[in-house]
This record gives sequence, C-alpha cells and structure tokens, in this order.
Amino acid sequence: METTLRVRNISFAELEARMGEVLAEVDRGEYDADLQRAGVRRDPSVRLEGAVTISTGQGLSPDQWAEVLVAFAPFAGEVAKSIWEIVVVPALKRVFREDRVKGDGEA
Amino acid sequence: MPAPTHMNLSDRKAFAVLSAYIRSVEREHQVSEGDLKRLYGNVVSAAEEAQDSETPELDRFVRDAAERSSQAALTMAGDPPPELLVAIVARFREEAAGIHCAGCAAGNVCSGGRTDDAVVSAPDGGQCLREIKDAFETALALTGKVYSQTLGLPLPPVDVALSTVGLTDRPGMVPGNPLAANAETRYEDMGRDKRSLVRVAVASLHLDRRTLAAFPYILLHEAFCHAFQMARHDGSRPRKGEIDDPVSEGMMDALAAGMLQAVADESGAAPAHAAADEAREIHLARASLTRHPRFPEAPAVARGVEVLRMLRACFAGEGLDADTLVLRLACDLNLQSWSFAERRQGLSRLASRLNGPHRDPSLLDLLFSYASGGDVGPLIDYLTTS
Repeated sequence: METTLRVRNISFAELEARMGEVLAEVDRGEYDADLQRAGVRRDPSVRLEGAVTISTGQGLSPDQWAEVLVAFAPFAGEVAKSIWEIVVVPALKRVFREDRVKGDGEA
Repeated sequence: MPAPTHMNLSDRKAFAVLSAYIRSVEREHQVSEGDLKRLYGNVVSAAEEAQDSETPELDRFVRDAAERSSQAALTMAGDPPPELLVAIVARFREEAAGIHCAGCAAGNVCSGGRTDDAVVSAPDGGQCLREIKDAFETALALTGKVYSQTLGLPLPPVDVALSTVGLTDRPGMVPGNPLAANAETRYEDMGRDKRSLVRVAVASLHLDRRTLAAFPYILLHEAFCHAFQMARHDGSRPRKGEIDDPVSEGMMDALAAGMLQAVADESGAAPAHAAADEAREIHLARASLTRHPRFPEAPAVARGVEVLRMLRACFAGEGLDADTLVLRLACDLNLQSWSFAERRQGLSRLASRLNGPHRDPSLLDLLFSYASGGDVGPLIDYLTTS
C-alpha cells in the first residue's frame, strides 16, 4: 500500500528522522486519543516505526517540490494509512510548517 | 498495472500551440527581436486561453490560436510586414495545421476526461505531445541499441512507460538552466516483473526553445541512466532514499550527453546539434562543484564523471579501445543490483585507488580482466568488500 507526500526544501534525512520520531510517538500511544476521536483503532501490537518507508524517484533534477513515495508494510494493515493521514502528515506540517508539506491529494 | 496518466487537455493545447510556434522560428536568426517578441506575446496569450473551459478540440484550437496570434503580429509589424516575419508566420500556420485529432488513436478525440490518457498513450496518439513522445521513443531505441551492442546481450526485460504532468511554474534546480520541464523515473516493480515509469513534468506556458531542444537529453537521461538501472536485481528494485547514485547520475549521464553529440556529428542536422548542445550544458551544470547555487546532486554526478575519466585514461594507457570499454563497463555496472550505498562507496574506492602514480594493482588486474571479456562481478565485489 502506498501514498505520496510532497515536501519543499526539506532534506530526505531530515524528513526520515522526523517521520521516525512521530511513528515512535504513535507506537507509544501518544496519539491514541486523536485516533479514537477520528474513529480509528490502533493495534498496540503492530509497531509502525519501521513499517513505513519513504523513497523518491530519480531523474534530471530534484524539484523545488519533491514528491516522496510512502510505502506501508503489509503487516501494518490498512489502518497504517489512516494513521499516516490523521496523525503523521499533520505532525510533519507542524514541524516543518504548512507551506513545506502537502499530503496526498492536497493542492 | 494502471495506464500511465498525462497532463490535462488545457495544458496539452498550450503545449501544442507553443511547440508549433517554436518549431517555426527555430531556424530563423535574422528576424527583428521586436517583431518576434510581439508574435511570441500573442502566442502565449492565445495559449493561456486554453485554460478556458469552452474551447474547441485541440487541433482546431491550435490552428485558431496560430491564426489569431499571427494576424495580430503581422498587423502590428507595419505595411508591408517584414518578409522574414511573413515566412515565420507561414511556417507557424503550417506547423499548427499538422495536428489532426481524428488521426490520434483511431479517431478517439480527447474530451478532457479520464479516457484521454489512453488516447495520449496510444502508439499513434498524443500528437499534441509529439516532441515528448518522439524523444521518449528515440531514447528507448538508442538505449536498447547501446546496451545490447556494448554488452552483447539484450536488455533485461523492463516495461518502460511514459507519463506526463502539467506544472504552473518552471521546475527543477539545474543552475543556469531554467528549463520548463523536468523528469524522473520511478520503479513500480512487482517481484520479478519490472516496470519503470518515466514521468515528464512540463510548465507548458513557459515552454521555450531551450526546453524543446532539451527533450532528447531529458528523455535519454531517464531511459539510459535510470529505466534499466539495477535491472538485474532479483525481485523488486530498491527505490532511492537519501543516497544519490554516482553510476547512473554521473557515469551514465556523461555518456548520454556524449551519445547525443555522436548522433549530431553523424546527422549534421541542426535540431540534433541543438539537442547535443543542451545535453552538454545541462550535464556540465549538474556536475559542477563550483557553480552557485550548486546542483544538489553535484557530488554524485562529479564522482561518476571523475571515475569515467580515470577509467578512460587507464584503458587508453594500455592501448585498449577506451571509449568502447568505459561504455560497456558503465552500462554493466548500472544494470547490476548493487545498492545505492554500495555504488557510492564503490566509486569512491575506485577513484582513490586509481588516483596518482601508485594505483592499486589488484584493481588494475580486475579492470583488465574485465576488458578481456571477464565478468563485472569480481570488480563489484572488490570495490564493496575490500
């Protein structure tokens, strides 16, 4: 299962590190209340840190807006994508600011 | 696998108008800048009208746009208008008349909906994006020919597909080269079935002569450097993370620019030379460690270029056919499944061990063994484990 993220002026290493921190927070249950409000039930035995990998295409030149491919490990299930949308993308926007991160489908 | 998607109909109309205009002026050097500027301004205004929802089918839109912008420019250019401007306008009208939507994909005319993607992707479809599609097909053919001739083997099976997207602003960050297009290749492998999706992004309303001339290089970079990269990997190919690959971005990119120069030298045609000139300029900008701002991937590109030069000198020093050998070795290295990290580490080691008067004798043995028809595996093992 995959989705995309678009980022501007954020290095791959920085993005990967921050994403890892947020996923670790999810695994510790720090966002369970937010998820519950959104109607999403997290399975504490499924750890998301390590279940989500990011990558980019290769080509002539990196764009100012880079499109990042986000892949979810099969064991993480469909709920991983919901958690990504409800928790991780907003968290990344807070860290890096709104005008440098756009989730899948955002203009 | 889902069919590749393409830029929307409005952007394709704008692309078709501007590319018809650019083709009509590309051979003219003597027209007054003022007259040409007026015509160009009119063409862009006409192309912008493609964004309106109520415009006719693409071919009629392009012809109408060419006619209106030409008439306006001729009127403003005085009585009588300059002969060269008249000649350009005539060519513009001819170029614009060359697109026939009914001839695309057995008469399936684009309507602006999702079914357009299949029309544009069809082998006889997408005339509106002719420059991109032609450059893609030529790049794939040249890639196949070079890989199979140098390696003496057919390419591993990879399904290479073309997708296009529209942009508002010029993309990319190649210093000194503000192109209106960019491209990237993504792997969409499913186990052993390999698929490379080449995605070309174009800011159609900013389309200019340089960008049009650069399409052969842009598509060759994707096809030759990336579409078959790691194609010998068993299973789905790893996607790029943080590390830039000096083999594909540096060695292969330098060779791609050289290939276009060879094509230009053989044909002598002006468009081929324009393509080769753009390739050289963009490649040098990508490889430069001294330009400011520096291209983000310059260290990897520069490393690959440096290694290519060292290898060429090494083989030439032994009286071997250096050009053929470096081409074969680069293609072979690019096809193999060594990782991004291994490629970076391997090429750094290769550079340091071939540098200076005390070259690594074991490395030299492996290189000359490869030159005599040996396998590239031992060389990669040596570079990644020693």
